[in-house]
Amino acid sequence: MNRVGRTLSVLVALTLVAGCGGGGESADGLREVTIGLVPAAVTAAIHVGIDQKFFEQEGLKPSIETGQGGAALLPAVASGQMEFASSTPVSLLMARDRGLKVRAITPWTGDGTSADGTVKSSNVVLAKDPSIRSARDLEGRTVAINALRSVGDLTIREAVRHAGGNPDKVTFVEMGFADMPGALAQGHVDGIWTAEPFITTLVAKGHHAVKQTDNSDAVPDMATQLIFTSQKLIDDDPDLVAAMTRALGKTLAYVKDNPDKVRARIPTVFAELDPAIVKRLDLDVYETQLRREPLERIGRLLELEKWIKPPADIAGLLP
Amino acid sequence: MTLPPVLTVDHVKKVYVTGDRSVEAVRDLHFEVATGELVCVVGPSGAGKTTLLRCIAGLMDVTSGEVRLEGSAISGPPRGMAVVFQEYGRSLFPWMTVRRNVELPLKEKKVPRERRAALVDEALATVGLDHVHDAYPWQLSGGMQQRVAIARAVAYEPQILLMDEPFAAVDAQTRADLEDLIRRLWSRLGVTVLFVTHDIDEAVYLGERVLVLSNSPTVVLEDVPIDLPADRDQLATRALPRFAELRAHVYGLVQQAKRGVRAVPADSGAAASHSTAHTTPHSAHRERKSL
Amino acid sequence: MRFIRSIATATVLPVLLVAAWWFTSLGSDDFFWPPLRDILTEVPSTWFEGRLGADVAPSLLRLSAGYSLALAIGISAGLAIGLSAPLRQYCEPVFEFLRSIPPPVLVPIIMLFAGIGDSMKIVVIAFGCVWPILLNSVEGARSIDEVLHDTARVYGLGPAARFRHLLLRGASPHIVTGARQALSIAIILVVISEMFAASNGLGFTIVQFQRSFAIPQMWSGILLLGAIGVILALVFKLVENRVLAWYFGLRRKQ
Ligand SMILES: Nc1ncnc2c1ncn2[C@@H]1O[C@H](COP(=O)(O)OP(=O)(O)O)[C@@H](O)[C@H]1O
Ligand SMILES: [Mg+2]
Repeated sequence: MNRVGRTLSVLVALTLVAGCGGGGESADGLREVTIGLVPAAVTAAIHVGIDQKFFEQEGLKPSIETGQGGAALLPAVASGQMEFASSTPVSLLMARDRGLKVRAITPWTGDGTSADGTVKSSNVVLAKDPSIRSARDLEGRTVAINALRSVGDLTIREAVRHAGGNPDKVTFVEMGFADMPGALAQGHVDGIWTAEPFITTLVAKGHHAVKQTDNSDAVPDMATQLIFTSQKLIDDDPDLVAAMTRALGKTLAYVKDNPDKVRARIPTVFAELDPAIVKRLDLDVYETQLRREPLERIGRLLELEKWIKPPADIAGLLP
Repeated sequence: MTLPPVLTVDHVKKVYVTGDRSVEAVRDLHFEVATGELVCVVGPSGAGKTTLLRCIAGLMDVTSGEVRLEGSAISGPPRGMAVVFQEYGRSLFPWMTVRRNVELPLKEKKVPRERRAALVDEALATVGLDHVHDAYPWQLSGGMQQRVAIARAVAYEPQILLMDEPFAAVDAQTRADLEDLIRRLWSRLGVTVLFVTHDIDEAVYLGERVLVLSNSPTVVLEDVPIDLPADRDQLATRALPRFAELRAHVYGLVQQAKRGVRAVPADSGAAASHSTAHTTPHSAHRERKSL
Repeated sequence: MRFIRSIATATVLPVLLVAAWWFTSLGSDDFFWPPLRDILTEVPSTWFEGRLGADVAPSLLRLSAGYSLALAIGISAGLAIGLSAPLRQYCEPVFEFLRSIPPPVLVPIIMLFAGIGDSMKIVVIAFGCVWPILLNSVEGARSIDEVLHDTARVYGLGPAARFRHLLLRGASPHIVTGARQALSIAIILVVISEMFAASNGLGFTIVQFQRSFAIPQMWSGILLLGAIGVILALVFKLVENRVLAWYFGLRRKQ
């Protein structure tokens, strides 16, 4: 059974020991910091911030780590493997509930109002069966989400409850976003909780969005990702955290007003992406303010689901 | 010959073809074996003895000619024939006990359980192994393994028993015992035996007839009747002048075979072979010329 | 007696390791590296209040279904291929190709035809396990002595008897080697397959604990998984000792 043991320890090690740890001083006197982000188009914003010298002005030289999935980032920051990372408020509040001392420093993305004034939600449930019209019709159905016990099931369960249905009658299964369209087409699942660019593609193929299942119904003005660090780093090196907070703040304010600059930097993140797609891509909305209300709303839902012990540690999460 | 032949080897030719190479191992073998006979086949190493035996056992197709058992041509191993292989140790199933090795063919023959047990016990007792039923073959010495292989053949109650140099690898004392065992089994069971050996003494001591094979590509050099008394004894029989004569005659033939002689002049074997009425019409094909 | 002694010998190192873990982790306040004491305290409430039936049993069922399927296919196909040289030549490149595909990569594809339920997980497990069994069965069939084949033919063994008494037993040392490799692969693949589209199972539960930062519970799941692995290996060894008693004896003799 050595092999099993070894594989397991590798699995565990992979999830625990993410990233490659920064923290040195580079030749040009800048402080090297690592920031862990999910491998997505949003990451381009950091490159824009670097281009605008927001980090350099604060004496920072950020390196971006996108090698790990979102799940690995929390442990990596908590254990000091990297200084900063992004995560969902759901994961962060659950982590705090378990005693993991992590704290948000700035917002990152959200469902807020985009630059052109429209309100949009990053995720929605798509279905193929026309009889599934609204959240309530999901009772007795199977819905694919990217990760269990996270934003997807939290918001869909709330949507079903809100529509007068029983959320316990919805079955959630976990699969990668890329595998969901196939599973829906084959009829293995009845609904998929998905995001762009899948939404546009699938709606064009005749699938439809299930009403009331976007984030904004469960959590109006949802904050989808926050940038966080560990309490230990805040205690040990408050200047570094303050500098990073300022640099990120400037970056967020800048990219909110300059989406074209972000779009121009997307090929840095996805070198192989078709330029035509890059041009059409629906960009995430960057937030400039850490808002308490959506976090409290998420906290209440987590308490309701008994995923955490009440009360949700909102104060501990906010700076 | 009053008895009809049980086995007819009718102008059998065997050419091994491997890739673009072909080896003519047996050119033209022709002889008959009557029911209840004990015939020894002797020839130098590589003469094609094993090839012949495998053709008779139906383990290999002949290139031309045919092998007939009680008048009908065989295709595949015929029922009622048992074989003791040259590589006896390798012919026993190492994952089965001695008992199960002997019993397995009987099970396949659908022999009822009690009869099966009796046959196994009897066969093992006959070969002098009544204490090793539950041992595995690899726990036994070479001679004991050979006896298990013989017991398996005996328990099978075959009409014909083929044996391929069965005693080549056992020590001299065991070999003498096993030779006598074969004579006893043969006279008691009335089974037809075709016994292949490269040992001239053994062939003369055991056989009622000795077929001497030529070098490969093989023909029958001579069919030598053995007119020794039926009751053979390791000391007495071997001390007989006639034994020495026959032995010398067969020895001469084998020497010729080794030199590549493919046909023997009609008068050369007179001293030995014309003293009995045993010679079959086909014996030895003396008229065939070497090519 | 020898068995008991070998068990004793085999337990020394694990006991030492567990002791070392226990004492070095005693005062640990690392969130991801809790004291072993805390992990063990979590075991009863985590596993013995329903999860044995709800999560461990489904995993074990998937494991045995996938493993049995792999054994059935691997042994029968392997023996058939091993007996036929032309068949072997045709199949070998294909097998080399297929076996080098890591099964997790195939999960999305298998999901398309086998769905997302148990059958998908069983197919994934079977697909990963079948290669060592199949390739070893091919070798096993080839390793059987010609003389034994001749013996079986001469004594009129029918196809069923030849399969059971000659092929299966003759190839069994190789088959067992393949089956042992396959068993560890099976355990890994149960866990991995349960990370895709699962809603129960041991692998699923461990990942959920990890996601919700229930770290002692996660470790307890890993310990349980390891314990299952050890038990399965022991059972395997017992079966092996029975099935291959003749082979070990033969080898000692040589
Ligand atoms: N499978 C085979 N392929 C090619 N040649 C063979 C094969 N088996 C035997 N021979 C050849 O046939 C001849 C007779 O072999 P064999 O019957 O084994 O002789 P014997 O048993 O009398 O020693 C030899 O020259 C041998 O090399
Ligand atoms: Mg031979």
